Formats: sequence, structure tokens, C-alpha cells
Amino acid sequence: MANTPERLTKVQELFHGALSLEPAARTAYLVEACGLDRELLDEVQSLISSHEQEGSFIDSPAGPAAAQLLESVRQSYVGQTIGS
Amino acid sequence: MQPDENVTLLLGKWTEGDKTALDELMPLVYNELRSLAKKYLRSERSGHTLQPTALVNEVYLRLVDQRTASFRCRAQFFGMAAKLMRNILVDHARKRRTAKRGGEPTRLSISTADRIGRKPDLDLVALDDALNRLATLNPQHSDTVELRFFGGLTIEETAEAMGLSHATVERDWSFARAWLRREMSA
Repeated sequence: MANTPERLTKVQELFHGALSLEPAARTAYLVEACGLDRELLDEVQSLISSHEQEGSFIDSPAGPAAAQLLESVRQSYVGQTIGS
Repeated sequence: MQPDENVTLLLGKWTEGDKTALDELMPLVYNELRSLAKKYLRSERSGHTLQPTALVNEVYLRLVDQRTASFRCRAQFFGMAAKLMRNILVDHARKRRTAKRGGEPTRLSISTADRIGRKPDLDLVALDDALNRLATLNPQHSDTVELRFFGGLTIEETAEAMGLSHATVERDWSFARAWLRREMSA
């Protein structure tokens, strides 16, 4: 895990470095760059696979989800009014 | 309501680097955001969908004089409002989680995303926790996410608000997004 700011900076550097290459060339690049630091290699690779996941909540702004949240709060207010 | 001269002035001062102006400005914006949100929540009109980014925009239009505020002022304002919006939303989500017996997480499905295809539900509380962890490692990353996700800002607007280049914001955004996705799926 990248649990220090310096480590995260290193991870980000390798992340972008790998992504700028063809997928086939990435592993060789990372193995070379990480040397014996197996944890670093795993970290960057797990982030690359997360990057390549199709769609996720974070791709669209909080708008629609927040609207739902606020709406559901509104509904619970309405429920309270009827119940009281 | 007329745009507030004082708010516009404070925003201008803050944009020029006066940090004390922000301390005065923030409660004013927060109150306006909350009271507008409450007004919407109490509204009886059914089928009315509240968009927080629209809400942020409305607060801006109500409080700030468009004629004197610069583009940079606007970006700064949206940056702050995104932070406040995050607070309001996560606060709601935490209260709802506590209110539910057993403390099961409040999950929201993104309605538009659902129509397109299956996407993971959003757990705002988990996102907030993950963002806080990210902030300890790299505050610039968490700020970027805040602006893009909670403020609905574009890459350009985020760059303007943070005083960073377009390329840097793009890199940070793609990295932070991958990081959060992985954190939240673990």
C-alpha cells in the first residue's frame, strides 16, 4: 500500500508511465522500474486495472445521486408529516 | 433577491489571496446553500429533481454580482461550494445511516447510470472516508475529486479554481479516480 505521500507520488509516476505505453509493454516497464519492490509493482498494477474498469459512480458528478439522496430525505419528511 | 455587494467584494478579496475573506464568506454561502436545499426538500411538487450542481449555480447567481465578478472568482466560488456540498450530502448520508437500525450503509443507485447499464451503487459515506484517506496522502488529489464530483466542475474549471494546468488536473483526476475505485471495491 502507498501509505506515505512520497510513495503515492512514486506510484502515480509509474501509473502514468505505464499507461502511456501499449498494454503489452506495460508489465516489462513496471517490472524493470520496480526492481525488487514487489509491493510497488502490485500497487501500480492494481490501480491500472481499476483505471481500466468500465464505468463507475465517480465518472458522473454527484448530481444525480445527490438528487436521489435529497429526494429520499424529502420523502422521509413527508412521511413524518403524515404520521404525526 | 439582489446579489450581495458584500459577498461579491469578499469573493474578490479571497481570489486575490486574502484568506480572512474566506472565513467570512463561507458561512454566508453555507447558509444560502442549506436554506435553498431545505426549500427544495420541502417543496410539495412531485417529480421535481434537485440537481446539486444546479443548486450551487443558483446560490452563485443569488449571492454574487455577475457584472463585477471575474471568471477566476467564479471558479473559486464553485470550489468552495463543492466542499460545502460535500459536507451537506455526507452529513445527510451519515445521519441516515445512523438512523437505520443495525447501521447498514445507505446506498444510492445512480438513476441515470442505471438506465444505461449496471454500475456500482454509490456509498457516500465510504466515498467520504476514502477521500479523507486520500487527502492525507495528497490533498491536491482529493481537492480535484471534490471539485469534479461534488461541484460538477469541468477539467478547465477545476484547473482555474486550483491554479493548475489542464494537463495536471487531467492526470490527477484519472489517478485519483482509479485510487478511489480500488479503495472502495476492496
